[in-house]
Amino acid sequence: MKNHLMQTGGNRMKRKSTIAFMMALMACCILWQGCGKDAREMIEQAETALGEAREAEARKYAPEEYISAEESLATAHSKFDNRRYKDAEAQAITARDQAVLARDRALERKQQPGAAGAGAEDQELVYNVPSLYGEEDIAEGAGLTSVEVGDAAVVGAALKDINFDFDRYYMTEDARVVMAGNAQWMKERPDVKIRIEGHCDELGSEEYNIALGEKRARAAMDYLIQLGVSPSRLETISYGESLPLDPGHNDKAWEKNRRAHFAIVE
Amino acid sequence: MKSGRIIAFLLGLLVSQAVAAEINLPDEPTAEDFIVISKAPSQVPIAVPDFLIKYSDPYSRKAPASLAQVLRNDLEASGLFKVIPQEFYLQKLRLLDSKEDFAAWSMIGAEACARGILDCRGDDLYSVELRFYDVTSKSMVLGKRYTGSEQSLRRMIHRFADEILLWLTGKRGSFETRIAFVSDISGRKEIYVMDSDGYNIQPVTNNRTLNLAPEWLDEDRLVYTSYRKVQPHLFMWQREDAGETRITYKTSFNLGAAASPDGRNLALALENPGGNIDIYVMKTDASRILRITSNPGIDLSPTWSPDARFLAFVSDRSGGPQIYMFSLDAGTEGTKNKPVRLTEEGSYNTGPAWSPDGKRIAFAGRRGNQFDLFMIELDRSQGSNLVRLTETPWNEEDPAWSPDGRMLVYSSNKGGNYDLYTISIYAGKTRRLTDSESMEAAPAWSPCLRKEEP
Repeated sequence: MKNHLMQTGGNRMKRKSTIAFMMALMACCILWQGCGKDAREMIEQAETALGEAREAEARKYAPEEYISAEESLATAHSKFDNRRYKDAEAQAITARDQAVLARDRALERKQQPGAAGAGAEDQELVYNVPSLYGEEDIAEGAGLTSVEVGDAAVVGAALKDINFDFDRYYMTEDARVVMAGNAQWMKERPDVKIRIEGHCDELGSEEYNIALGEKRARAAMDYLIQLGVSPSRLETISYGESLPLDPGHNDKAWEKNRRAHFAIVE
Repeated sequence: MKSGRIIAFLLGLLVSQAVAAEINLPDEPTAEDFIVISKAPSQVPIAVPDFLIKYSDPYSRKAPASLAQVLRNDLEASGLFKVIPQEFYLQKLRLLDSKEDFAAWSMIGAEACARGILDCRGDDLYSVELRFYDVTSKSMVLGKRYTGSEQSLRRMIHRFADEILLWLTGKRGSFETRIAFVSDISGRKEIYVMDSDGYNIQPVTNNRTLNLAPEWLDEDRLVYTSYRKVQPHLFMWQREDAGETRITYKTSFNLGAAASPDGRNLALALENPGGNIDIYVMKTDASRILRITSNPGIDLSPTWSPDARFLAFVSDRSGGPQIYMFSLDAGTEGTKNKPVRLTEEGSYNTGPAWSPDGKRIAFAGRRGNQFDLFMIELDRSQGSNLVRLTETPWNEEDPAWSPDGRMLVYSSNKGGNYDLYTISIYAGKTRRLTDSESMEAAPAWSPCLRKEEP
């Protein structure tokens, strides 16, 4: 008789703890769903992007970029585990952008014969802002935007421009991918200082465009700092609408002119 | 005849003098004999025949024959006169020794007539005698004689046009002035000044970088923004010695300074360390910097009210650039002291310019895909206070007031690329000032070069 009673009591106990456990589990699921949903999605995207990078053999052809992406993703995971969902999401976005960059670079380099790992060829890029009448010499202090990349140890391309929407100075998705690459480039060369130029299309008033260009340069600078570049290496300047890349008067030209450009200064 | 005697008497009074001298004829109109031909907005029909040329020295060079055209253009541009074309003039030109044939002028509908006699004394010394007649009362109401070099002839005519407007309306004209502007004719944007009718263009900057936003401090000094020291800084140019002084040093983003009416302060846009671009006021030596606006949006392009108590400026705090007004009495923008939005229509309104009499703010507003000129009437208490000045398929931008408040100078791409024009705000009459393949924009109109005599 005693054994039977104990058994019944035991069963009841088990049921209660089961229910409690299930409720706790449900609560965790709800919590997890509610707070971490966006972060989770972003981490998944980053994982996918990293997978694509692996498939593109980024570990072989773009090792540094791939490692950066892996590190960012690892950080995202650990932030997530510590329930820092906002930080996790941000890190995951960075990881995804870096993974996309790694994949693109890997694909590029695979096409170049003899390019593998750190043995990529030097690339020389010269960017001259055209004056309005086709003259070639550049004035001191303005529009001085010649970027040469001739370093033998260099992997990959030099700093790339980013573009902006009309009358806006926030980073677009595309811009952030490019900025990931620019930040990478900066980190590989700790002695280099740059001046970030803000430019606009010709629509609207000259003065307002100078201010808008300054905001664009500033936004690019802040983003680089966020990606880990030291502020002491960065300065900004705005040229407004006065130094267009494309002197045309159409949507295509205007889109090209709404940009931030990264010029190396000694 | 009475008028004959007056003319003879007045002629007798004329005495030649040295360089750039002039004579004020004694019968300035008093309140009683102030003859009102017509007040704006209706235009006075006026005849301006070619000037007579009288040479003392038979060996003198040929003098410029287009001076009458300078006067005609000024009078038309003011919007107060309608110049009757020369083909309608009945009488042959005669020397002014005999009396003026007022009947002939009346017959063609002229209510006023302006005559000039140019005399060359050789060796780059000219004298111009200018007369302004009221045809209805058959009398000369204004007469001046100027003496100077060939180079100053145009200026003499501009001065006389200003005198005519002063006599007619009690407010001096704006033709003896200079207009500063930005042009990229050299391949880079530089600052220039020219006469109010587009002649005598003179460079202010030549540093091959980027120069913008000229504004006059007074009739002799110009303030502008230049990139010649890498970042945009303010510089001042002096007309006397064409010397350039740097104003800002410490602040790294200085844009679009406007001088207060007394010439002692500058309002401009500065960027603070946090990256915010706001309106500040400071002394002309960049000291005593005072913050005016405090808003995360872009605030810039200030313009002063003539009593220096308000600023109007552009801000994108509500999404796109709009024009706001702010009272300086209460200090920096705060919760109790916020700028008032003046423009409600349109997504992009910019370039505010406060008229010298304080009654209006001109600006450029984008409607559809083009910019047009508008004015906000500040003292209209009811109804819509917006006046549209242009409605064209081209852009009209960067308005700036003439010192007499009768005209705006602005930049328009009507001719393909941007050139400068003036428009009279009463009659809508436009005049083209520049005609080039390059871009001319951002004009600023100096105060009168001639100071009023007490």
